[in-house]
Amino acid sequence: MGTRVVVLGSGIAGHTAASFLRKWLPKEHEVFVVSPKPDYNWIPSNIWVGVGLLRADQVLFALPPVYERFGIEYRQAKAVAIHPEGAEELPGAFVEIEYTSPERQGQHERVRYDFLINATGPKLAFEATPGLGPGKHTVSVCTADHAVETSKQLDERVARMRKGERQRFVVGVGHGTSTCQGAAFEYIVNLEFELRARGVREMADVTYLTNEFELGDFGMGGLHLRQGGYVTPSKIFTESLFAERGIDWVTRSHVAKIEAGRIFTETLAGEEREVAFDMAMLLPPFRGAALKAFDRRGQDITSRLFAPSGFMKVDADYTPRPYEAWRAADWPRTYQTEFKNVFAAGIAFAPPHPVSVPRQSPKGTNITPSPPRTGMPSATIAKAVARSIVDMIHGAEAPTQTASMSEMGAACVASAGANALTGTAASITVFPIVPDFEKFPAYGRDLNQTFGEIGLAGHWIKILLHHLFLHKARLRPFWSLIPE
Amino acid sequence: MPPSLPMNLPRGRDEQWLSVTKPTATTRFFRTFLPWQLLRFVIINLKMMRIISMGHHPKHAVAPAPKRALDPASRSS
Ligand SMILES: Cc1cc2nc3c(=O)[nH]c(=O)nc-3n(C[C@H](O)[C@H](O)[C@H](O)COP(=O)(O)OP(=O)(O)OC[C@H]3O[C@@H](n4cnc5c(N)ncnc54)[C@H](O)[C@@H]3O)c2cc1C
Repeated sequence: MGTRVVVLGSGIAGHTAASFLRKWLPKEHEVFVVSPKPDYNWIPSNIWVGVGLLRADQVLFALPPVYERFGIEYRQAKAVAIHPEGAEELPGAFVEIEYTSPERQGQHERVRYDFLINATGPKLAFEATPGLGPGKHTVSVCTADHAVETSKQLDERVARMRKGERQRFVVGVGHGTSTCQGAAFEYIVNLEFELRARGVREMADVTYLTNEFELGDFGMGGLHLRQGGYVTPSKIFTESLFAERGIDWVTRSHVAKIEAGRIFTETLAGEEREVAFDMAMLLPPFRGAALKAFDRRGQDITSRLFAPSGFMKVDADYTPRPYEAWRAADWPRTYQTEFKNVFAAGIAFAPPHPVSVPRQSPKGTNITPSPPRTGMPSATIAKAVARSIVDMIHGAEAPTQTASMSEMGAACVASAGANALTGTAASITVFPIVPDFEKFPAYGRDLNQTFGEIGLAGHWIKILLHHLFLHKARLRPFWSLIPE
Repeated sequence: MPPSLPMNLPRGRDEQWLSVTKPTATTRFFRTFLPWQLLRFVIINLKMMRIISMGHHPKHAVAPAPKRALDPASRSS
């Protein structure tokens, strides 16, 4: 009898895991994907949808035909609970799912599994800040739908500027513990570029609002680059990029609430401030997908499998320690949970601690970016987990692969304006992603492998990546040769 | 015409703006100067390929276990 591997989520991590599992496993084994939306979204390009340069259909495609062609079972549903020991009336591990497809909306089903990968990504926790998010007072680019709405708002603001009305744009993060500053950075520089392209820049005030202690932290404690005979912190480059574009910035801020046109912040110094806006794109904090877990007797074991943030506990060292005692080795390597056949990949795993220095305001509010898990490590982790599972199906006793974020590097291209001749992007490589101060005592990273440069070449690479990664996700010829 | 950067926005004696490193005209010119950027395109791609090849491939966690016949009953889970 074949084995069934169930993958929860079809984002960058889930889709990568499912594709490689199908490629590597003989046909008698089943690869089974459960995901609530039938479309794949190449999220990094949502930035360009949000400034009106791409349509939603250029960053989305339908997954079911791809899965059918490739021999992957798909259910349009969301997972609600994991039963790793099965239930008394139904022995064997299963996951309870709730259908989201129009035909079966709301129906529940129990899906048996031999191996399970939780790749449910982030829950966008807009509710953490009153007034935050689409439908309330701010916009977002986290999903293609959000980005389309954002682009419409931008058009309205531009129309007002053309009539002579000055407009205030605020871009950044909407909570003291938000992450994904890289995306907020990309959106603000693209927005500024677009305002120039539409000839209304002089009518706009553009401000970056962030929980970072200094610009350039990006939730990864910043990075250092060798440049012009100096080792320079990323703060210098990020500030320079903003100053050059006439973008103001407000750091060290937690957004406490938002009302129409007004953002109320608390700063690390304990001050309460107000930032006025006409259009604000603020990213929410991320939480886990809020799955539950139950043992065989139906007892709730959610806190055994998941951290309070909702992210899944894996093979990391979660012992609470002071910042000085954090080690690169705390980070997970195999992403196996206490149940040997359950893994988490991508954003869904619980990081052992932040990477940026943790800080609190005098009131005790956490104002520290959460650790980022960008696309490249998410996909790399997913591929490693898929390989481990394949090897375990073939008889290995334990996971055979590791993909620790403190042992892998990342290449990242942050768009800073999209135009084939005048656009630019920051091309960055870091090694390792999570700093390792034991191996690299001075800066936590290998300066020979950590590099950054702004230019048109970066924009061309960003365009290339957009097409390559969509080609790969569509599982078109030679997809598996394209690196994560 | 490419939109130009607002380097000369009237910032007055804005402290935030004055205290920050800014690129010179030459640096900005080279950022979009085609022949230079074509060369940078090749170099940056090589640097990225290096990071990809050295750092982000999954590594073996333990010595790979001997391959056994496909027998789900023998799984540990
Ligand atoms: C605007 C923006 C720009 C970005 N730009 C970049 C970039 O340039 N480079 C980069 O490397 N990274 C970038 N990132 C980060 C990157 O998108 C994430 O790292 C990546 O998407 C994480 O992959 P994931 O699979 O863990 O999560 P996701 O891609 O979010 O996928 C999660 C999946 O789980 C599904 N799901 C949710 N709940 C359930 C449930 N209960 N049951 C089953 N399925 C569920 C979702 O529908 C989705 O399919 C950006 C992020 C944003 C928001």
